[in-house]
Amino acid sequence: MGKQGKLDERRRSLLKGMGALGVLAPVSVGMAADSEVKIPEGKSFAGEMKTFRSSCAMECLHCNLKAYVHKGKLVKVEGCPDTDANGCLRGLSRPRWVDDPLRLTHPLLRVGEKGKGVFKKITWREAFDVIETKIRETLKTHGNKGLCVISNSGNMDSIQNAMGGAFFNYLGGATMKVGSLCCSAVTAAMQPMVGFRYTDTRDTIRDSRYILCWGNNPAVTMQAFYKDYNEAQRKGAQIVVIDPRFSETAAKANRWVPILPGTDIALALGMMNQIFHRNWLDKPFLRAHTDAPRLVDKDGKLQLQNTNDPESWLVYDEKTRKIVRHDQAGIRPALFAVKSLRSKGIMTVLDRVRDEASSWTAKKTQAVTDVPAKTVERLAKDYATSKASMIIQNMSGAQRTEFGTYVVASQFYLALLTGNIGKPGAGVCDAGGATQMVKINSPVAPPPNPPQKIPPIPVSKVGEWILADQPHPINFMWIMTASLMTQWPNTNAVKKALTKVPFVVVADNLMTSTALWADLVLPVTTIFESDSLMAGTRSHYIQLMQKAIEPPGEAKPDSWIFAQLAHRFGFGAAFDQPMEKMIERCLAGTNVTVDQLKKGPVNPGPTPFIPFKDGIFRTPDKKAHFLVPAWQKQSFSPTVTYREVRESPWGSPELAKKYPLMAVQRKLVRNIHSSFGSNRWIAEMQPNEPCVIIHPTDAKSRGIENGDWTIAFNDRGEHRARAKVTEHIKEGVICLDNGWWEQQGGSSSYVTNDQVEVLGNGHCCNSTLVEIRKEKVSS
Amino acid sequence: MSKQLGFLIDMSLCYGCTTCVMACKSEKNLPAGVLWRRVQTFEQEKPPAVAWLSVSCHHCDNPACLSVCPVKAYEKRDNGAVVQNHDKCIGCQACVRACPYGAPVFDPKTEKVSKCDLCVERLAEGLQPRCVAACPAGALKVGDISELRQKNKSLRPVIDRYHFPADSKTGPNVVVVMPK
Repeated sequence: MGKQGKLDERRRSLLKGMGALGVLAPVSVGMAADSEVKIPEGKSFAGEMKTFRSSCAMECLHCNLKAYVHKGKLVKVEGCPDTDANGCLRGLSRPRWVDDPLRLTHPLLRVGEKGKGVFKKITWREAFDVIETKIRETLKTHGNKGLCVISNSGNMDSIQNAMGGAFFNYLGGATMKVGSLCCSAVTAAMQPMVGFRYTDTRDTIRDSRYILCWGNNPAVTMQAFYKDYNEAQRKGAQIVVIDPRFSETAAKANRWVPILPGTDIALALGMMNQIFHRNWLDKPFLRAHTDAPRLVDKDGKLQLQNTNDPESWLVYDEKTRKIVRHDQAGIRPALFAVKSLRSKGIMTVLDRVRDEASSWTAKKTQAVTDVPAKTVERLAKDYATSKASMIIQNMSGAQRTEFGTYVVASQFYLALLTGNIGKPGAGVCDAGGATQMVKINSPVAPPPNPPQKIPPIPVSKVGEWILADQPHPINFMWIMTASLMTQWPNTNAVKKALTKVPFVVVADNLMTSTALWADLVLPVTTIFESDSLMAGTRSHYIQLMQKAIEPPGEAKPDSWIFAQLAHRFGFGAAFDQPMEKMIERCLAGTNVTVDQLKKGPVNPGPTPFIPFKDGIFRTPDKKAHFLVPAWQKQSFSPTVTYREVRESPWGSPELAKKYPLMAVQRKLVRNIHSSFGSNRWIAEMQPNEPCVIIHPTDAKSRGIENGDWTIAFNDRGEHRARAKVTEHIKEGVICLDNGWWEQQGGSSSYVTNDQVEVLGNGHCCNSTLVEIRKEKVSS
Repeated sequence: MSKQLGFLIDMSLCYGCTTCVMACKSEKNLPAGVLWRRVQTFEQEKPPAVAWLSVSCHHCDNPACLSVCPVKAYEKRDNGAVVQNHDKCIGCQACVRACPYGAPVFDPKTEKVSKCDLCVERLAEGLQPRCVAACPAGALKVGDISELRQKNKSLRPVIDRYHFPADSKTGPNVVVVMPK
């Protein structure tokens, strides 16, 4: 048997092991029947059921949902058109999440080899005994840093993850992750530039004249809101999609602009060059609302009147032709420095931006991005002159690259240069929710003593660092609202890390790919099985999450688990609070009350919400900043610049000889990350096996035909998927599906890059090189 | 002439999310493998294009299912809806073979056929069919077919472009707005 044969053999045995899971694991099921509840004869569900409202709480738009309950069973879920979104198939599929055959109903202690999925049922008391013992042991042998907590976006309500974080803070601290897989590059750009994050422009999409979906596919990832894109288009807006793949949104758009992965900054700079060159600048906006006129030296260092006063920036006053403090009355700050200043090495921030853009001719931009020069010119013109123009960034795939922070920043540059921000139909659309209008508090008071400062692990490096005891050995791990085994890059390293850590707790509601690698699995509730609050960063509505049905078996909310544990460690009083009290704590200061929420979701408004309205930004000086000294402190340019992605054919020519294809990831209709991945209703109407999209030229040279099973691979691992051979992808690029479970053959994260995005501790899944081969059919 | 309801399917608004399929599945609590509504995907290479078409029963003027059913399980209601009395169905699948649109679905587990009933109970309560109410794009409508046809008279474009099976003998009550 050759190497390939062995790998295939290994996968078959793995799949066999998964098949045995249901037999070996004493996971209570017994409620898989689809048609257990009969519809009352001759009646629709509408009049016959008790109804409850909740929020679809994984990392999506947190649509408000209405549960229909009949004799204690969840029989139907509907969207709620009295809010701004009507939900989607995933929310509606939730009755089959509640009774999924993989549903966890009891605490399970591992009895077999890690990863084999062999557990025995134990009681909650036994579970808490073992957790307490393991935590106390770890504190004794390793200190707090030996504890590691990973929570993520599987449930983004205002209670569960907050309780988890608070619990470990009360213990004195733990090793946490830093950065995020989704979007910490967005934070690293927006926080210093505009002073705030999670600001979205969804309320005025329909007012836009030109919508640039940049590495983003809102027809899938803003599904419940794509109606507004349709409406904008009906009113005459152009929709343009920049994406290596002809996405669902591209199919609806006026124009598809395929681009080489990792070159988006170059395209933005090419567009900026056109904007400077053609004088499509909004100069009054730049002067009034940005740091554009501030003077810097050739290294980008801000010139101050008084070095002890960091807000004493200097500008050049065109009226008096003198350098003056920026806030002096009656001045007209120059946007570009006069020659005499430039000869002394002094320039404005805007000069610096223009200088950087000036080399990006349309021709050079084409050479780097493979976007035709004429298209670069047209993009710039249409974006700058359509008024109002909007960029849909929405935590895009474009920023899940090595220099993702600059990608996001470059999009804000375009918006600021043309004054396309703070107005209806304009802006750069991020994910956003109620927290942009009101401040939501933690459900738990802060601990009496601040937790220790413990060096964190960059999120992309969880696997590699834990394996290398970096920054220190981890002895105990708590994983909640997350599936590391499908979503974290470099799955083989993650798997080894989970095997290495002596005690891993996974709290989830299904036997996920990650739960298979746990030492202790804790069964938690789904959204309709306990009361909670949603006041977050994805929906404008503050929503009461109502308990509609009893959880199966002994499943409990994470918050209950932490309250019980808190008692064992002597701080139970702070945690063991009635849910309504915790919700009230979250809402204190918002003017929104629980009684109000009982009547329905509340949008704390204003509506339409326009982030940075009238050019008032949320930085300390209320202005938007092109220049970010924080980047300079990290030894990078304080203004956007193009850098070649390391894991790319041009960044690593030697590696590219082995792995010549660039792999990007797409989100699917069938899941949100790994959530809904096992839902059997969705499986009936959406593709139910991993797919790899490959260009006919790339497929032909590898003997791959449409429908063949293939293996995408690199030094990190391999991912099996069925080939879809089509020109709906750029040549030289393949597109992998995000979110397939171990039990379904394994995630595309086996191959994705675990490098840390340089400025924001982000995730570089779209800076990945692979090769692909046709799977050998065993004889 | 009595009223005849039908679906309008606006392909220009549809982005293929299959929420309508899920809404139908969950409203009717359909058994595993049975879908009354389906979304067909059409892909084109040059120039690249994708279009989606959500279809169920067209509640025909002369329903083939009704005319071939040996046990008279189908009836045409006053509002034009073609509704099956599921208790009568013997699972012979004559309707499955006769329908040009694939609307009746056989369930091997119960050995019976079922199909879209236009959510007649919901309509009676003044509600929209679930697929229509759930579509996040507003791409599906139900209404008097003569009114729906005023703007989009012919099925010809969708027949030509998407091989939409329109059998003039059955008189399907459906209007399709083509993608842009």
